[in-house]
Amino acid sequence: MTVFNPNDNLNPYLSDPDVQLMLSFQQGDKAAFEALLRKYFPRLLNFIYRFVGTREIAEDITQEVFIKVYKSGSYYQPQSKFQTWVYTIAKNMSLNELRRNRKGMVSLDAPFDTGKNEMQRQMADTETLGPDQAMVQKEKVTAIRKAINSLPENQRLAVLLRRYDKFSYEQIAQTMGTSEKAVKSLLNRAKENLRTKLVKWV
Amino acid sequence: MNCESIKKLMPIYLEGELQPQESKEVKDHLASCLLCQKEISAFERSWDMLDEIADIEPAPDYVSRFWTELSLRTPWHEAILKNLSAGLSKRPLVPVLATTCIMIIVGFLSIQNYFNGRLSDEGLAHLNEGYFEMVANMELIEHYEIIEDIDFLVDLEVIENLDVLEGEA
Ligand SMILES: [Zn+2]
Repeated sequence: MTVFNPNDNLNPYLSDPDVQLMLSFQQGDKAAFEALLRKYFPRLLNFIYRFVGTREIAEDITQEVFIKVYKSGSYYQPQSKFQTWVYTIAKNMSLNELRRNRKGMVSLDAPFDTGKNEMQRQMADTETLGPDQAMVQKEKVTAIRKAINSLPENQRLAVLLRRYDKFSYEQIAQTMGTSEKAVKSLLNRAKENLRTKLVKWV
Repeated sequence: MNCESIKKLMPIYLEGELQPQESKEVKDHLASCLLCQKEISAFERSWDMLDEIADIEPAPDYVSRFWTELSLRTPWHEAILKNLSAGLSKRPLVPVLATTCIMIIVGFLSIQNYFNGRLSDEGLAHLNEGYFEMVANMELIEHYEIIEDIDFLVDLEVIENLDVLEGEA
């Protein structure tokens, strides 16, 4: 159902091409939805994977996110950039998953469960290195993952959005439902934590 | 400022988020303090290091997997309604849908009653009650969106148990 809003032409988010795709989808254009799916699925999969730590769970949650986006089609109204909106859904679903299933949280001592493909890819990446160096590199990557994973949820979210998804402070604040000031303080504490946890590798 | 307070400002300094005055103080301190130079480069490197985690790739068929999963999740009545309404204005279809549903349900009830051999006048009276209840429920269909939340099978179950209700009456 489309509610006529006289302020629509003042809505700043209408200039976001992804919001436009979502609105086309609302009018029945499935290709517009698929364009959003292709653009955001790989990014969200990585974001969720880095947040929850298990590939299989990340794949399930990513699919759920897009099922939710699809079903929101009929009542969607742009109140943020599409990216912020879809990341907020992803964040909420990931948090729910972590709360519901604490087992899903990777133990701090376990390396991330990356699935077979990435194992092969990472091995290919390290093939140019000698066996000792490759070993060291593998250890380092594990240490980085453990460091990220050991951050409190809020700090971890802020770090992932800032470092990997290149969000602005404002976008992080919107996604996390907090203030920019709080985001800056989260990032500062996260950086201190990372610096301490990665001391061996810097 | 001493090394400890400089250290506290380092992450904010690196983000370029310090006030100009504070930023200058950190810069001046760094120029003359080897320890803090080491410290700030450790901050920088531990942040840069996060790049060394490789991205994972989605399964090659993730798009088709999505559409399959979606179709499995769509209940049969919703799928029928969606297909019926595709390309047509929703409103004119409502009476047609309502009539179709009523006919299917009444037909179903009649057959069931026939096989149960309970097509007595009493049974018919109850059937009529049920029928009018259904007609009342059909008003809901005018709020087309709500239909997603109606589970027809649950409603049918209630009607199937009409005999039990009769016994209680
Ligand atoms: Zn110093």
